[in-house]
Amino acid sequence: MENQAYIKQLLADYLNKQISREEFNQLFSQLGDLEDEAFKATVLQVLESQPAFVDARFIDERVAALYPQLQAKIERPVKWQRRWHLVRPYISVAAVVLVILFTGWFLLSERQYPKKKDIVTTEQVLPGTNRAKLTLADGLTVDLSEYQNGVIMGDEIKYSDGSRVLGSTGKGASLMTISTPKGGTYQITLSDGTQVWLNAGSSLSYPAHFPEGERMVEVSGEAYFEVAKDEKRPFKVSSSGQQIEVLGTAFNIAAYPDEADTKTTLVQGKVKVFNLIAHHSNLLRPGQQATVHGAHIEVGQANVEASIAWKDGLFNFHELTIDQAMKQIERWYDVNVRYEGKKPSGYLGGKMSRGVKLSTFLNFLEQDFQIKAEWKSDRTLILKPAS
Amino acid sequence: MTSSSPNISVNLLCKLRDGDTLAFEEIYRALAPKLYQRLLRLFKDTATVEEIVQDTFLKLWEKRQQIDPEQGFKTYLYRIADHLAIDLFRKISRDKALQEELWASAVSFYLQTEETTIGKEQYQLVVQAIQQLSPKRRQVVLMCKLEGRSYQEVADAMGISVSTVSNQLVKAIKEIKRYVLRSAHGEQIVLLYLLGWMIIFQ
Repeated sequence: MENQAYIKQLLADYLNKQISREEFNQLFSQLGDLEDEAFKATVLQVLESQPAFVDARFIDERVAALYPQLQAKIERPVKWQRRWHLVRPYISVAAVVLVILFTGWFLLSERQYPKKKDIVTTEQVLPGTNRAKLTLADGLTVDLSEYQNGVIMGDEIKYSDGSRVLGSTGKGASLMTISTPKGGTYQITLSDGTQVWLNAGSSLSYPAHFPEGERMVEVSGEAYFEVAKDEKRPFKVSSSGQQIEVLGTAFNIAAYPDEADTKTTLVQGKVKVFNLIAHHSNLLRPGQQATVHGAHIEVGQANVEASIAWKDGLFNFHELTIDQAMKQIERWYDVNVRYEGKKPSGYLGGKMSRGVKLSTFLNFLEQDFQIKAEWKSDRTLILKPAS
Repeated sequence: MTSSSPNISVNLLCKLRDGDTLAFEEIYRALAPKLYQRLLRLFKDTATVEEIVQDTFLKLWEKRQQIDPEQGFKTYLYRIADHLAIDLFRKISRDKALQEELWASAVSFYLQTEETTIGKEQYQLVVQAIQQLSPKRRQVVLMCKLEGRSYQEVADAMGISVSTVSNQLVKAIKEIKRYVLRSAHGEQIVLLYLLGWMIIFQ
C-alpha cells in the first residue's frame, strides 16, 4: 500500500514538472514491476488528477496544424461520393471507354507486366509479416498461412496452434525447404524439437526426420536457432563457406548471398565454426561472433542483443553503417535501395520496431540524417543528401 | 473525466455517424486540445503525442458507425486514446532505450529547469544544446520558454506569425532533445530512436 502511494506521488511529480534523474529511474523501475492491470489503473488514476501546466495557445496551434493531415486520411472516399451526381450523365460514355481500355489492358498486360502492381506510396508500404513457403521433397509447395507464425514438424506438419498443414511428412530423410520471401518471417520447430526463426529472404533445408548420427540442416539468409540438446547427434548447420557444429545451444546466423560475410553469433552454449575454404575451425564462446569472409575467419566480441533483435520484432541499428541498415530495410519492406551520388557515410544507432510503415522510417532518415528518399513506382528508393 | 471539455451535442454525433466530415472536424477541434494536453503530460514530446492524437481520431472515424449518440462520447474517445497511450507507456516502462529517449524529451520539454533538479551535467548539456541552435530558434526558445512570454508577444517582437513561433519552438525542442540523447550515448554516433508501433484499423 505504502509503495502504491509512493509510485503515485512520483508519477504525479513526473507528469507535472521536471523530476531528477534518480526519481525518474525510481519511477520506471517501480512501474516496470507492476502487473498490466495495476499499471494501467495507476497511470490512468494519476493522469485524471489535477492537470498542471496549461499552455493553451501552443496546444491550439499544434492541434490546428495537425488537422490537414488527418483530413487527408479520412476524406478521400467521401469526396468521391459527393461528386457522384456530377458524374452520372457521363456514366454510359465512361462505361464504353472503360470496356475498351480494359480489353486493351487485358491483352497487353500479360506480356508487359508479369504481375499487376498498383502504384503505391511509401505511406502504403507496410512492414513484413508472417509469410513462408514450404517445399516438400517431391517438389510440392505449400504457401503457409499468414495468420500463423510457425510450423511444427512431426508425424504430421502442424501450425503452432495445432491446426494441420499437411497430413504426412513423407519418408524420413527426404529433404524439405521452408523459405521466406522478402518481407516475410516464419518460425519452425524441427522434428527433434529445435526451434528456428527465419528472417526475411531466407531459407532452411532439413530432413522430415533426423537420422541416427547427426542432425544436418542448411541455411541461406538469416536464422536464429535454439537447438534441442542431444549429445548423441550433433547438430550441424551449413551455409555459404562454413559449417558449424553444435550440441545444445542458441545462436544467430546471417549468411545472405548478397553480403560477403557470414556471421555467427553465439547466445549460449558452445559452437564450432568450420571455414570450408580454409579448412580451419574456431570455437565460439557465448557473446562472441565469428565472421567468415572467404578463407578468412575472425572471432570477436558481439553485440548479442543487436544481432538477435529481429527475432523479437525490432531493428537494432547499433553501429551499423547506413548501407548495412538499408540492406535490412530492403529485405523487410521488399524494396530496392539505390544511392544517388556518393553513399552516405557514418553510423546509425538506436532501435526501431519492425512494425512501422516504410514512410515512418524515411521521415526519420530525412529529419535526423538529412538523407532524402525518392520513391519510384517499381519499389525502388533512391537515397540522396537532402538539399 | 475533465468536466471543462465542451459538450458534444447528440445532433453532431448523429452527423458524425453518417460520415459528415464537417462534424468530424468540429468534434476534433472541440476535443483534441484537451486530449493533446493530457498526452503531453505523459510523453513530453509533440511528435509522439501527435501520432496518438491522429490515431485516436482516425480510429474514431473508422468506427463512427458504432457510435451511440446517447452514450458518453468523451469517455468513448478517451478510452481509445488511453488504450494507445497506456500501451506505449507500458512499452517504455520495460525498455531502457525508450526511457532514455523519454528522459531526453522531459529535459528538453521543461527548459526552465533549475540546475539543482537535473544535476550540473545535464544542465550544462541543455545550455550547450541551446547555444547550438540557429539564432532565430534560440531567440524563440529564450523568449517562450525561459522568459515565459506569450506566443503573441514573441511573434510581435520578432515580426513573425504565431504559428511560425510554435513551429520554431517544436523544432528547437526536437534539436535539443537530439543533443541530449546523443550525449547520453557518447561520441559521433547519430541516434535514431523511434517509438514505433503500428495500429491496424479493422
